[in-house]
Parts: sequence; structure tokens; C-alpha cells
Amino acid sequence: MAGVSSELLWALSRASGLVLLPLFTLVVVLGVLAHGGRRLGRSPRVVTPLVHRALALAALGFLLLHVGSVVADSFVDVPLLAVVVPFSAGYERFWTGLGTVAVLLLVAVVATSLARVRLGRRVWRAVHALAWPFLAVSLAHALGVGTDTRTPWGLALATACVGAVVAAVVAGRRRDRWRPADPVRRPSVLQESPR
Amino acid sequence: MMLTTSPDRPAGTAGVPDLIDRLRRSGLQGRGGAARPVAAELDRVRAAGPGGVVVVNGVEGEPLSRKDATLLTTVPHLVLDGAVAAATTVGAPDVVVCAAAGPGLEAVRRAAGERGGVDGPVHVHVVAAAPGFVAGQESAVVAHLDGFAARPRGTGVPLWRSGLAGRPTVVKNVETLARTGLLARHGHQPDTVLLTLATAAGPRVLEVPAGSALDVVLDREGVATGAGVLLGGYHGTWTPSDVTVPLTVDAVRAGVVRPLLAGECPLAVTAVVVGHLAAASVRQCGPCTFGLPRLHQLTLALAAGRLDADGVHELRRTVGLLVDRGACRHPDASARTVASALTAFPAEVAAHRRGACLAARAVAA
Repeated sequence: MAGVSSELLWALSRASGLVLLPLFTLVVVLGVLAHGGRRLGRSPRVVTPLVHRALALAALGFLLLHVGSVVADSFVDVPLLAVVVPFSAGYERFWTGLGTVAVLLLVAVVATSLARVRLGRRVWRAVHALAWPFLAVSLAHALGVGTDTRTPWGLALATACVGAVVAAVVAGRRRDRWRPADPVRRPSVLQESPR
Repeated sequence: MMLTTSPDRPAGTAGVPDLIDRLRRSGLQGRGGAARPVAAELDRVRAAGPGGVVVVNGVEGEPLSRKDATLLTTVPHLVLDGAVAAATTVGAPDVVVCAAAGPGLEAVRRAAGERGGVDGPVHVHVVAAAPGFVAGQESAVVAHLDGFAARPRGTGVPLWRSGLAGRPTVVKNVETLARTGLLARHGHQPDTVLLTLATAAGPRVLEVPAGSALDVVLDREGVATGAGVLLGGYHGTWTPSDVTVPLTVDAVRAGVVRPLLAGECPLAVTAVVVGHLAAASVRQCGPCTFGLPRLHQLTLALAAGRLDADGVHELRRTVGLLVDRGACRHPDASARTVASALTAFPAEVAAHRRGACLAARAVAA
């Protein structure tokens, strides 16, 4: 493969990786907010999960670009097999392997979300929680293998992502369900009467 | 007046074995507005097993109605006799009277103290009602007696299965139980309807033979009517003056008759009524919380002649949207009141769309 093309592929994989980190962070943040029943601004409550889903789809597109460009790039040794088998790549075996683990976790999350209607809520909830290890492993992968994440601005980006998730978890927890007002109860008229 | 002139002493109606047969033969319908056959309801509660409750509904949240307070004041023992007879028939050890604060409540409380052991094992409780229009809905009455806020409940569990304190419960209107009392005492009850006539001088309670013509009754009472009559109270039906309506239970429901005065605009009165109904909501369901204020707003605009053809269309659409959505029938019935005004006074609606008012013009001419 020509050098210019390889150069382009390398730039593509780095750039898409840099987009993926904040994008997946945003998806997780929206997921937390959606679970907490939070609104985005003044929009109705249903908008939050809709945006969560739409951004997740967009992130999947970038992920395809990210993985595809790395595999296609002949300069680094990442065979197609390494997309599904962790720690089988020649280039940065451990850190690239974490990327593979993240992909596998994401496949589970996406597949169960697509089949959510058939699975039922409890199974889906349990598998969907894999989004947390996914985000953690992705972040480790980004910090370990990333050419740009060790620059000051790259570290700042990673820190901001972690901060956003923590803030969402703290602020966006599910609030108490709505209850009719005045649960105060007087004794019933028939409480003391013989049955 | 036959109902309110019966001698009022406790009659010991605790042991009437064939009360349900008597109810069925007389065809007695509930007089609280729903007009359901009473015999079938008692039958169901009896089938639900012993340990039930009979609730006497004297809340009378209908702003123009006075008949229940009148009965409680004049013949409290007759009402209690009916309730106790019903209670023994269905195997209920308790009768709970829930009445609006006032002379009626005082009278029935006094009467409950004078029963002198004629009620056998049945125990009579008397409780003051929560204020408000919706507080008179039967499940709201039960909620109030159970110590909760007086709100209609939205569960699909009927009261005869699980009502007051989880026991099989039957809630009956004061007049219904007064008639039940007559059936228990004498085996028959008068074929009449008890009306509250809203006149300029205030509400007047009268008893007329069932099926009497509305215009004849109004003439005899010396009430001049304008464009029409609201039959059945705030949840009632508008009838134009030129239509003769027989005053049956199904027509008068809770018994309120509100004639329009000369020059009074039916749409303006409807707007006032809807305003009251919207304010009476306990705001636990969407159709009441959002639909009734919207209905009030549109009706008010129509009455003021500020609604164009699209607006009237929107009003009709809102009426349709309110039906069959709430925990109780408050939004449905309120929408029906407006719908009946639109049906009964089409010429008036058309005039208001052009910013005019036929009723006002008739007075001026």
C-alpha cells in the first residue's frame, strides 16, 4: 500500500479514536440521565433516551471507521482476526487487546439493546450495565495505545470525559417517583368497630 | 310531599327478609345521579359475603342540590331505616352516614343517638363529609371514610369487592335509602322524583310524580323560563324550552333543575358551570388537570363571542378528548354538559360565532 494512503489511514484511525472517546462518554452520560428521568433543557422527558440512542448509532459509525482504518493500515500489525480475538495483534499487543475487549463488550450491549423487546427488561438491564466496563476499558485503551492522549490536551480531554461521567452519576441519579400529594392518613371510620 | 311527610320514628327494619325482592319489584334506581338499579347492587354485595358496609352518601357536592340535606333534616330515621334494612339484607354489620356539614348532619347525628336498639346487630356511624364536588363520588367518599384524601380511586377493583376498610361496600344516595326505608316499612315507595328547583330566590325542593312534564311543573311553580333548562345539575343535560321532557329518574338524575332566566345566555351559564367543574377537580388525572381548564377557557371564549369556526371545532375536539380517560367520570360528565349545550342551542352557538347573543337580543326586543 502506498505511503500516502497509509498516512491517511493512520490519521483516520487516530482522529476517529479521538472522536470516539468524548462521543461514547456523551452516550453514557445521556444513558445515566435517561435512566434518572432527566430532561434535556426544556424538552420532554422522552427526548433524552432518543438522543442517547441516536448518538450511540453515530458512535458505532465512528467505531467502524476506527477499527477499519487500523486493520487496513499495513504499517501497524493489526490483523482482521484481532478485531474479535483479544491480545492477538502484533502492534501494542496489550493496549490493542483492550480495544478488542471493548468491541466485544459493545457488541453484547448493542445486540441486547436491539433485541430488548424480546429479552425483557431485567436481562437487558443486566447486560446493558456492561457499558460501564466498556467505557473503562475503552479509556484504558485510549490512554495506553493512543498516540495523542499523552499530550497535555489529550490528557485534559480524558480527564474531562471522566469528570463528565462522574458528574452525571452524581447529579442524574433517579429521583423519587412522583406520588400523589398528601399521603397523610387519618384513622379509618371502621378501624375500631367490631367486624 | 310524600317522602318528607312520612312520620319519622325508628321503625325497626332490621329484619325485612325480602327487601331485595321489594327493590326489584319497585324498580328503584339510585338517585345520586347514576340511576343504577339498586336491587342488583345489593345482590352483588350480599354475594360478596358477610362483613360488608352500607355507606349513606349525603355529601351532596352538587352546588344546586338540596334534596339530600332536606331529607336528612326532616326524615333522618327513614334514611337510617333504609340503610339498616339494606345492611341486614347484605349481612353488613356497619352503616356509615357521610353527610355534608350542616343541619342535615346534625339531624342525622341526633337521630343515630335515638335509635334505641331497633337496629339489632347493625352499628350506625355518622361522619362529616369532605367538602367539594368530587368528594361525593362514591369511591371518593370511601377514601375519605378510610382516612385518605377524598379522591376518586382509579383502580379496577369495584367497591362491592373491596371498599371501606377492604370490605364489600355499597354506597347509596340519601334519597335512594329513604325510598328503601319506605319499601322496608310499607312494601312500596312513591313513584315520584325529588327535585331541587334552582330559582332566583334560591333552591326549592319539591316532589313530583315521575314522568311529569317539565314545563307543567315549572308553570305550576311559577318559574318563567328563558331559552332552556339544565336538567340533572352541573353534570346534567341542557334542554331547550320548546321541548317537553318527562321528568323520569333517567332524565333528572340527581334531581337538579336549573331553568334559564329570561335573557340569560345558556352558553354563559355553561361557561360558569364548567368553570366550577374545572375548579372542583382534585387534579389527579390528565383530563381533569389539563382538559377541564382548556374546556373552561374555550367555553368562556364562546360565551364571550370570541370563538371563530376553528375555535368551535377545537371546542368540539376537546369535548371528545375528555371522554373515558380519567379515574372517575368527572371529565366525561363535564364534557357532556358542554356537548349538550352545543347540541341544544345550535342557533345560539352560531350567533356567538358572529359575536352576537340571541338571549340578550330577545330581552332587548
